[in-house]
Amino acid sequence: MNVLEKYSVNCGVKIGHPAPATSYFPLKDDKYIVLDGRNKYPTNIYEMFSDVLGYIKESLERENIKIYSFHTDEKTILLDTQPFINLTKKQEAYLIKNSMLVVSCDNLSTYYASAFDLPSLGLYSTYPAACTSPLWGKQHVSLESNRAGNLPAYGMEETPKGINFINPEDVANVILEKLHIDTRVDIETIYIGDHYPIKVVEVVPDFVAAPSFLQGKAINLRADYHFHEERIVHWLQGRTVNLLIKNPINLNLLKYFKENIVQLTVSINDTFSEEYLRQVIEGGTSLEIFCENKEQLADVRFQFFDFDIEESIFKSKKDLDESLNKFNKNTQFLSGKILISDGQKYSCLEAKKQKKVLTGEPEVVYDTKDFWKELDHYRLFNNI
Amino acid sequence: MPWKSVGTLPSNKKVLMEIAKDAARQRDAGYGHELINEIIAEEKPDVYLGVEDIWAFTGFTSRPWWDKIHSMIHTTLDSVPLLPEAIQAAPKIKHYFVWASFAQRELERVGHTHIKTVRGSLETKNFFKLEDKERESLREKSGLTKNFVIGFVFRNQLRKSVPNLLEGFKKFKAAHPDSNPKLLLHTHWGEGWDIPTLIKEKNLDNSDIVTTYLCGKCQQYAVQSFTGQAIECPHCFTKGSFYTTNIKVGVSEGQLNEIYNLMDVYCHPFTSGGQEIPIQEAKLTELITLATNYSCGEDSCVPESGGLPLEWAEYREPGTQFIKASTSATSICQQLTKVYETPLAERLAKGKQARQFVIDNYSIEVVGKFFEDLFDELPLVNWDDIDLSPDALEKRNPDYLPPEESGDSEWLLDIYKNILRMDIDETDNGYKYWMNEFVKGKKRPEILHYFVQTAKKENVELFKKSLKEQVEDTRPNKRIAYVMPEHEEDIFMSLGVVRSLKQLYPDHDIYFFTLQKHFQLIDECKDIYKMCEFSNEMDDCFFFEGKADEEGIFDMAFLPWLETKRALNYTRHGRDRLQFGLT
Repeated sequence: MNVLEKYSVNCGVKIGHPAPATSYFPLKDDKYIVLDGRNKYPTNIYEMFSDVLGYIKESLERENIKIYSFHTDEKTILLDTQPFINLTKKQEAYLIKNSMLVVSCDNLSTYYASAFDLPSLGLYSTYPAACTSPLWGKQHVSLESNRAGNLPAYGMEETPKGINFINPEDVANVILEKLHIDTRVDIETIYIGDHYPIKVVEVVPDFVAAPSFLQGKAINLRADYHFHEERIVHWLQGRTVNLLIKNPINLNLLKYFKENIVQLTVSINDTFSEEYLRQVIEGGTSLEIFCENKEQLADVRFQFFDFDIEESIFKSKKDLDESLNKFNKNTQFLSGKILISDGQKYSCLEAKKQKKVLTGEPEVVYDTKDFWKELDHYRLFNNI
Repeated sequence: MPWKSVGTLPSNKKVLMEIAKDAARQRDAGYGHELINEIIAEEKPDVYLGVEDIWAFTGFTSRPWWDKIHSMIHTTLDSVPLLPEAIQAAPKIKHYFVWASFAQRELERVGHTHIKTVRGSLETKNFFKLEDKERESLREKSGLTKNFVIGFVFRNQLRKSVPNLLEGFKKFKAAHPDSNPKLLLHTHWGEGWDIPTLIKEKNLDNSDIVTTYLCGKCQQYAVQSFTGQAIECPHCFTKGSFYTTNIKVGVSEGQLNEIYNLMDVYCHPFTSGGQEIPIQEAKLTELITLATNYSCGEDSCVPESGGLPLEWAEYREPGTQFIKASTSATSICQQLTKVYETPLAERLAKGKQARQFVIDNYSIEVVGKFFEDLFDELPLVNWDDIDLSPDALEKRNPDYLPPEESGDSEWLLDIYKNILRMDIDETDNGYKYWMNEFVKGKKRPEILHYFVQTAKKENVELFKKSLKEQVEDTRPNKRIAYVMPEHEEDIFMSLGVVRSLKQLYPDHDIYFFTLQKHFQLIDECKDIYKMCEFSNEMDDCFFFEGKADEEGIFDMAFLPWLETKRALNYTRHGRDRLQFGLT
């Protein structure tokens, strides 16, 4: 039952049509769509709108259609959109009333669009679309996540978030269709890594950069890919770092930079001792330890009994599970990470090894062990 | 009673049920939080005098009547660090009295210099030293003629340091076996400390510890060793009627006076306390008293009190982190020795001094006179000038941003005026307190944060309207309450429902109850007569419609949110269908 039907039945009346109040807001564009990624449940906030925008941007520009987006704060602002923060609800209603289409994460904007009988697209996961989609007008389309086979969580925390299982190309195609634009995104996403929506920057400390480069930013410093203490010191200065190592690093250095190191992630092996790890903790550095070799995990946990040893953070091709059936030699990928090494940007470690510099365009899957290790950060898709 | 008494709990059963759901509210209701505003408005007093633990008055200082009448607090503060509310409320309590000088000293230490020590008052006529002959006769009756009797009168609570006293007694007995000491524990042995087990554990002789039994039938008492509860009364021979004295069946004041007169010395070890009245009663019977030198106990062992201090070690109470005292058994032994070895004449002189100390500081005549004089000094309140309705109050402004270029004094007066809406000057206690905080190094943002939080709290406290106050009872129309506290999507959807309700009930006024932040979603809806603020008790249709002898303010109440927010009872994973159309 839809929530509005529930309210209506409870009160013993039919569902009436509301007249939303609006408040004038100066418009500089005639043609625009509204994108509203907010939701009262963090689990229903879709994190792949940037991929969607990548697919529709050119088509909309061709038609001179702008993208307005509503946000709660500056942190969530999307590139290539005209952001609006802290509008009143009536101003938002005004912008929606004059828009061509509303795309939202199951929130008030969808209801406004429905009340104005405007085209709208709602993304659903936390609640079933049937329960919360708007009932006024006839121009609403719901896209509901398959939740990787799970049932709706109704606001409970989900890992990974169910909403992110909605394929960006599906969202993009509904937008294009609703705007009567003939272009379509002819791909099929076959796998989305849990970390793919979170954009991360990783730096291999095999070069030096200007002090201002990535200053104040959070980065993963991959000293496990290249261990060079002087270069590590260089990258620790003025940056917030998750430092990954597979060789013990000078403890004094850790102490000195403990404010800059949010976490030390250790790939455990024989070069580490209990005493060393204890001193890391005593020095005030947050520590995460994982064991790359699954077969040795039990022994390592016994050897380092007083520490939490996690399973490997790396993946393998097997982790594709059912998606493996759809994988072929032409499968392409986009990466949620940018790996910077020797001053060049790469999509992953394997791309670096093969010296394939990042272009922003999809790359063909490398199908090597090192490539699959970072599967959590990829979205894989086939052209159709 | 020679005065009018008013109950502190509301009579509305729905409200009582709401109160029962919330432990903190229940406690506050017992202290009068629910009805104090109404009582003040109805009785129109000149003076409000609150005599209770400090937490009883939380938030009272921001009630609309607080500054309009002569409000004063007479409270017990028994441990350091002092409760934050005792400190934070201090600037707003012009007449702030504490029962123990220890509390005054602590408040002064944190900058509140207007606090005075005024003891809890005591009826002094009931306790006095009996004639020697009469005392001897009483001791003979109790078989205590050849003993050095150490007494402790207390409710058997864990804050009374019974194990420490038993240990001190044991040491004293070992040091002075010739004194034939007896420990008289006038308390109930059926609660608190398991005294028989403690006696065994310390290898004490049960016959050395005596207690007071009282017969529930003939009301006579006996002081003897503990042999169990519900024993046969040696006076009226009723079986099962003789119990250790307790809060249900206790000795009379006259009997208690006799019990004090059985003692040679009074010893009161405790962890902390507000006043510990038995110490003063013992002093009135001219006994030398030993008391833990912490909390209110400090006042009972100053030289002029005729009492002796007991040393203690600090421990912290789990949870509150209050400093509590664990009294030294060695110190108990040493001070008992001191009294035991004091020549009789000197002991008698000290006893007289002790009695006079209590009369001078704790008697009704002294404490009552203090308040009488204070009341007489204060001008009468002109109630014609007082309007306690929320509409008459000026809303606090937590959003005010003070100009930063002014000096601290000017800045402080400015935020008093523009945030808390208080016109004060440099003589105000609050002003003095905050200026002192500046001296101690507090920065403006911290002080501003306190003012902003206070303003927000006061706005909630001061402007909350009752359901009855929210309806327009002069209109002839029937009333519908529609309740949807959250969320914005549901508020907006409700407009569709409200539209239909208005069509079905055109002669009803629809009152829409929601959180204030959602008013902007409905304020232009013509179907809604009035927007009202939601509060937690609005989860029951009978709160609006009434039942039995409770008045119904509304003709109908619709609370559809209960089945979608309070209980999730409609989703069925989106698989169900409706057999009928709703649009």
